[in-house]
Amino acid sequence: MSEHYEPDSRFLERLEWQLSSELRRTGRLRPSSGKIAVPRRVVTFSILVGALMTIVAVMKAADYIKDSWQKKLEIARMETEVKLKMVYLESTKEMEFKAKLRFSNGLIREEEYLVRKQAVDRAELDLKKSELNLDEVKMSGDTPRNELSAPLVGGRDFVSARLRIEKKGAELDIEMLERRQERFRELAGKGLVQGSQLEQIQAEIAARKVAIEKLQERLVLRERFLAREITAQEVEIKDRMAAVEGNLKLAQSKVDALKEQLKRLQMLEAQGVVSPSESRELQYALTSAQAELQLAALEMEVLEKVE
Amino acid sequence: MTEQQWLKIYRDTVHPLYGYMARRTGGNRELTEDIVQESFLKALDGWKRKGAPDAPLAWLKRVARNILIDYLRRKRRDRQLDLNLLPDPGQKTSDDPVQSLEVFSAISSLGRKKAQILEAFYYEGMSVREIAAEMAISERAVEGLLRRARRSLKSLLPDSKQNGGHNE
Repeated sequence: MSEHYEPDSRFLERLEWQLSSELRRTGRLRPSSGKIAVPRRVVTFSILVGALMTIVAVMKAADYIKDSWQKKLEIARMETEVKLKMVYLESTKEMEFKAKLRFSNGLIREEEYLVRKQAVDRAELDLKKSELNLDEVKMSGDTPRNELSAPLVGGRDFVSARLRIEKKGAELDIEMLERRQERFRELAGKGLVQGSQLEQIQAEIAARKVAIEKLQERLVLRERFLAREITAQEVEIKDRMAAVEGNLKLAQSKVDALKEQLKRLQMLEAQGVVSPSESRELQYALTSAQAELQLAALEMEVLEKVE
Repeated sequence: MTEQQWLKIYRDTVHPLYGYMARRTGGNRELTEDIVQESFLKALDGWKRKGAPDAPLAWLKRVARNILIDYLRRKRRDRQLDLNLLPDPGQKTSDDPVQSLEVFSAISSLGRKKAQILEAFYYEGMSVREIAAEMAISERAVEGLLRRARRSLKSLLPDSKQNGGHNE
């Protein structure tokens, strides 16, 4: 079987020939470096175009002055936002410290202290995001860009930095939801909460995990684009496809969950425990979820053709 | 870059790149050739402005791996990897193209570190010591990571494809 791990010599020759042809073809299309005689009409036309462009440049300069004032205002607004978030962060840290003391003295439950701790983590992420946006606006003179094909700004990759912050936020959410899930399990075991409330938390956890997968995929795509493995057009299409795949998964699990609920409800309806209107309402919800699923599947078909 | 420089890079990298890809496709010649060809064409396009990277083979391997992952993703969406067509467990070797693709598809969906360690161990035939040196971690850490990675992989694969073992 080892011959399958060695290339065929004909394939190697063909590929070498293909690459050489391609190299020569792109070499031929490069413009020549020698002097070329330019007709007088072309020169006159060029002068006219030059004059027009000067007028446009003057108009743009006026716009630029207005823009630069707007840019200063925007930067001032963002600096204020950062300062406010710093103050908020300090106050959440203070509340967390007090909660830690009260927890260590047995005055509050661990969960209450952890909620305060998480508020600090959230506030830190929020501040980091605002600082990133401010840096980007200062460096680029433009509003922050989130497209995966956006260029680096001053050598910095703001797009990936923001994606990592979002991912960290989703991970914090999962931590909190998992704690809540544990608590609800205990209470459900004692019959103190309904099973459906626990299902809701589990669904939220599943949705956050899907969101983290999506963010991770976007980070990988961004890396590939910056490494020049894929073009701007390819990265946007793949990004859209990944988003639609996530929507498909969510839509499918929503449809599956609604089908189960409808089955249970129809059994209860047959026993006369619930009214027909309740199962009709659920039926509408299921039809709507199925339509969402079909739409997502259609969008995926279209994107695959474009890809 | 001149044509000669380009062709030198091609001749130096095409064999290792082909082998790298063939191990992941289970020797599927057609798929491997397509991916190798596409990788070099992307290199032709991508290296135009700034020239070849310092480690062209590493760049090409990364691109080829991503092309294979994209291909498997499309197949998963189309559900063309039909598990019902696979024969009974125990009769397949790791050289089976369909099985290899299933395994690689599962590996590629693991986290980066786990995928890296599984590929280094099973596809590249690296020892624990070599992997530890490359990843700049202890051998014990490598063994722990390998254990966890295998566990994660097992949970993604049906029983018929849980065959480890080095390729060649």
